[in-house]
Amino acid sequence: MSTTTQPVGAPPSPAPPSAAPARASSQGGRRRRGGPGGRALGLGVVGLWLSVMVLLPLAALTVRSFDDGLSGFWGAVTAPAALAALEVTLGVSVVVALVNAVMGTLVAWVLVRDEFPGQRVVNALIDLPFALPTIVASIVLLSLYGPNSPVGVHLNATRWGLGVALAFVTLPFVVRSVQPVLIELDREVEEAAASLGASNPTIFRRVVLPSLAPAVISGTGLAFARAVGEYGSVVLIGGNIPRETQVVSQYIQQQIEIDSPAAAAAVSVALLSVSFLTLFVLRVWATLSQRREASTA
Amino acid sequence: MRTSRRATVALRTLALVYLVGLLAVPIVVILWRTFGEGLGPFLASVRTPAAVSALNLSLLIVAITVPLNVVFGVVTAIALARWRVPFRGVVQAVVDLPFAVSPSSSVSRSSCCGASAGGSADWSRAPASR
Repeated sequence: MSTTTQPVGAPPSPAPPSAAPARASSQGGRRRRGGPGGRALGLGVVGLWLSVMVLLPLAALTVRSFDDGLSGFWGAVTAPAALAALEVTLGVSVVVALVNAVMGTLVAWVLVRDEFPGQRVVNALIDLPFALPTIVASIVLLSLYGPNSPVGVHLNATRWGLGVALAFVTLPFVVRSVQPVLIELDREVEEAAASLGASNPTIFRRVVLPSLAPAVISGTGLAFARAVGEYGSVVLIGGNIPRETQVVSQYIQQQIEIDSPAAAAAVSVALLSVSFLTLFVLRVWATLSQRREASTA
Repeated sequence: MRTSRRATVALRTLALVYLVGLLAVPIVVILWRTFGEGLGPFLASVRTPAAVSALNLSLLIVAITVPLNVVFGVVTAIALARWRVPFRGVVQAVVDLPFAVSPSSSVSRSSCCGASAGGSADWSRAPASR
């Protein structure tokens, strides 16, 4: 029976013998393994893993943020500098996420549909921001666009600098989520649309984009979430000027340094709630558009 | 969808300009700074004891975390893709959540756990770099 849930090393839970064969025959035999028992075990493992790795630390963080009571939490979050940092962070992150949505889709399109010499090199380059420690990215961007800029562009301690650093770090998200979908896309549908007289913009808007939308949305959501929490890449080029370029992560760091961990935790919780809501809404939206796509296809 | 020659070239140029400006130039700068003075200084700075021990620690952590993530990540992916998971949307958002946690707040939350587990409660004075 269930082989998918075996790697965790637990003894196989006995599945009701009647249920498994019925499922296997209805699902074409090998497609869906694991009886209800194995599935429950798997769900338990997933739940435990996510709880220990993600939820428990966040719960501890939340508890810490209410150290000074509800009013302390509210006071910490609505402190002018904290609000300004939240505003800077969310503003720049939204812009970066939108730039990513457009440019990431474009880059994925060029990588899949176009052919030019050096394409593989370009394709390999996309992942580099993941491989590079973000603080290194910050150093490089500072030396490139800082006070001693060899190209004469000065972006240090401006929101443009923040934007460039975040765009660098979040570049792979949209590209890598759109690319596989674009490869799998059925081009005959596009050709059918073209033969029926649809122009290229129409084909893109009515045929290509609906299929890509879930991937674009989820990639953009991840890019946004990453941008909101980013620390290393903005710490040098951002300049950390309160109310100008101080992002939330730097504000939190500052709160920890001046020994007010409750305020740091409170601002973290506020930021996390925003990110979580964004991710959740985007996930639901992506699922809905996927379902709509499936029902029309 | 067949784009005209001009549109193809325009799209390609736009994508490449963006990538060159954002990726290629910074990476060339890194490489140039690394190897600008030849291979000798590069090897010398990689071979310092501090660098070696930092690299070893990084590799050790990778060797621990990657297998763990492979096993539990695959189970999670199977669960989300194939099984009926209660509150699937919430679970997926929780999976994405670590992206959104800034590193500086992960310092404060790990110290929260340390404090509650009777660990180093005096974490704010620990010589942490961030």
